[in-house]
Amino acid sequence: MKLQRLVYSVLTITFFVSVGFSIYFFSQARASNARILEADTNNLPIPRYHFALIGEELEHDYWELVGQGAKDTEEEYEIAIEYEGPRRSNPEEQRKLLDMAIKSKVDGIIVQAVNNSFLPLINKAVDQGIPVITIDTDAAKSKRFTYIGTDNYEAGRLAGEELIEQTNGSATVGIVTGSFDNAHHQLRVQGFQDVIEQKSDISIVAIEESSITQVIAEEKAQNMLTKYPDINALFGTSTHDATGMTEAAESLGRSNDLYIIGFDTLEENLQLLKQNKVDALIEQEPYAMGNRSIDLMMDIMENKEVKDVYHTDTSVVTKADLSVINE
Amino acid sequence: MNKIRTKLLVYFVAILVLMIALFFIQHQNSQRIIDLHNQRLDKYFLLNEITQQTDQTYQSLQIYVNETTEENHQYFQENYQEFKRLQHKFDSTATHSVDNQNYMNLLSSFIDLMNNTTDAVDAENIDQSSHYYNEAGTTASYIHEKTLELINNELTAYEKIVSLENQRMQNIRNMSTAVFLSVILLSILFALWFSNGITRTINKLTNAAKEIATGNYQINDIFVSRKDELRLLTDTFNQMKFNVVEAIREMKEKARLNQLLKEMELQSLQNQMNPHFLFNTLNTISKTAYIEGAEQTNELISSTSKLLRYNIGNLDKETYLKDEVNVVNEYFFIQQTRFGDRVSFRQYIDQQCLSIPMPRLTLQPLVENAFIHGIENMATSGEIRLNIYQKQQTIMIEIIDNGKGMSQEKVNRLLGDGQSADGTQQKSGHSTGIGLRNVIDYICSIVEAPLRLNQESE
Repeated sequence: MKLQRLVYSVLTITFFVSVGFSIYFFSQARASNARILEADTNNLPIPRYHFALIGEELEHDYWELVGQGAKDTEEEYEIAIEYEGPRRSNPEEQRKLLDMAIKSKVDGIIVQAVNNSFLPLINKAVDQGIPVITIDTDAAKSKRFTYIGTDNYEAGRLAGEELIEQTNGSATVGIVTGSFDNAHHQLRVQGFQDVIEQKSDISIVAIEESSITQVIAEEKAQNMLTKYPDINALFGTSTHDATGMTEAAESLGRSNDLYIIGFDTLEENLQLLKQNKVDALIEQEPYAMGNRSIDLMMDIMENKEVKDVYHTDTSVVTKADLSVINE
Repeated sequence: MNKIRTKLLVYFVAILVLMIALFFIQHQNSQRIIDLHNQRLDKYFLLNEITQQTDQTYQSLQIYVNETTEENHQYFQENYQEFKRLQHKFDSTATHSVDNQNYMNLLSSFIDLMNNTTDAVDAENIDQSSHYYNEAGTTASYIHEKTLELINNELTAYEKIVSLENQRMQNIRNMSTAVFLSVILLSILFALWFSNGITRTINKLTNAAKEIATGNYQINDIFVSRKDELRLLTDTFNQMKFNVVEAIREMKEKARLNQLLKEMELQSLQNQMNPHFLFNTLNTISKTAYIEGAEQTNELISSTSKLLRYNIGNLDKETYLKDEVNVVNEYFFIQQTRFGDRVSFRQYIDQQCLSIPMPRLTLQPLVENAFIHGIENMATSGEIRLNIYQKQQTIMIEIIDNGKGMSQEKVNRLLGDGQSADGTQQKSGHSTGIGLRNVIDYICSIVEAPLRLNQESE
């Protein structure tokens, strides 16, 4: 009798446990079913507008910040931003992306007008009724609605002034620029050269292009320093130039006697600043650029007046500023 | 009543339904996966078809631009219409997303450009036509690229869905296993419960039957909580046991009455020895008294002798009410002689009632009873009345005395157990010896019905 009762209770408990498991797995199946439906339909609400943001390089730290700034407005405005760009800096591919965006009839295009070859496409887009905003690099002669970004000429001047001040007006300078063709790099170099010429006797002995990559920047800087050993100051106009230049300086054992000024206060560059490998950085505001470009685009969509040019702030950051920020 | 058959039927149907449900879920599940797969595949095929058709249409445009003939135009138009059909198909099947919208726009841009090209060709504007033609070419390459991108995206999404589907499949498989296990356990539990229920009831019945077989009828009724055929069986068994016990009780009762009757006969037989001698002697004395001229004595002895003869006569011999009344008269004559004016006897008798049969020795003991317990102790004017009359279908015999009445205790004792009544009753010399209790029992044994006896005592 006792045994029988034991058998009964064991069977009953096992039964309820297995029933429990059935219910558990059933609910699990239902849950994954719900997830499948969610993933399958992918029915996001159709945004009011959808804009294309075409940058210089897709996975570039600087451009990712621009893209992030733009993306962060998606929810606020109920819009979709397609952040696009070539894998490596390549104006031709960038133009293709612009053309594709035009043919895909997006509601608005925000593009970095790297050089004059972008003019016809920008004009074509505007002619087809797609408003275009230039970002980071302007194409003032095109029919673009407005420009948002750094005043690149002014940024170049700022760098030049800082260099004169820090080197007491006597130095031999080598420049590594992102690209000879790209308008913003041209403007930065131009601004730098102008201020140096106006205010000092500093001579610029070499200027090379890095295609905005660190490896080429390092290679060019090394060549430059080997060719002109008397260079004691370096100026880089694109984000990764600073890194490349310090690498070159280190490999030549000249880390300490070179004055290096670079662009963009990304984490990587800030580390170099902290370690005294770089002496100053020109700070741009990529996030604000991306963010405000969408604000402006929305203004255009709502037929509000926009100015011809919006400049974001630029400033010089040195190690002294860094400690202030850190504190 | 829940029949055992119904129980089994319900159980099997439940199991069957569960199994079918499981099978259905499994089937639906696999069907869904197939559907999902087909849907995706259709989309890939469509995308592939679109790129192919883009190329073909573009080629036909090229032929038409190079050689503007009606035939080539026709060929271009065919392809163009096919392309439009595919575009429409894509529009109706694709979900709404930014990517799909871009793709759609790209396709329509391509269509626009082809239209522009043919318009320019028709207008023989070679500059325009070559410009649009080149644009169409780049757009075609864009379509290629975008298609690849779309397929890539779809595949990525599909991969995720497939992994989720697999997860779901695994869950459903686990669920099926668990349900299957539950069903098996339930079956075992059901079988145990069911068979135990039956054997337990049968065991109870067997034990009870054994008890009864050994002669013990004092067992309790068997009770089962089930409501099936076994309930019917146990109820019938209980009823049977009750009937047997009842029959035994009746048999015992009958045996007791027979015993009583025999005792009474034996008693009267015992009494017969002396009475015969006494009777003859009394007759002799009566005759002697008559000869000697003692008339009163003669009559008295004659009455006594009649009474005696009636008393010792055969009990089974049929007698009538009339005989009983005569005996009562004889008895009263004797008593009146004994007590003189202290007692009087009055009777009202409807002569028509006297012919009904009547058990012997029933009336006289009752009158005697009334005499002894009612009026014997009264100093003067004791009276006993005997009324016999017909009331509707019933013959009423009333024996009424005006005595002191009886205490309830005594009534109870008289009507109660015959034995105790006999035991306590002293045979007094002035009684003919047949007690009230005996009369009651005697009548009961004859009419075979419980006799209700109400004695009204004032």
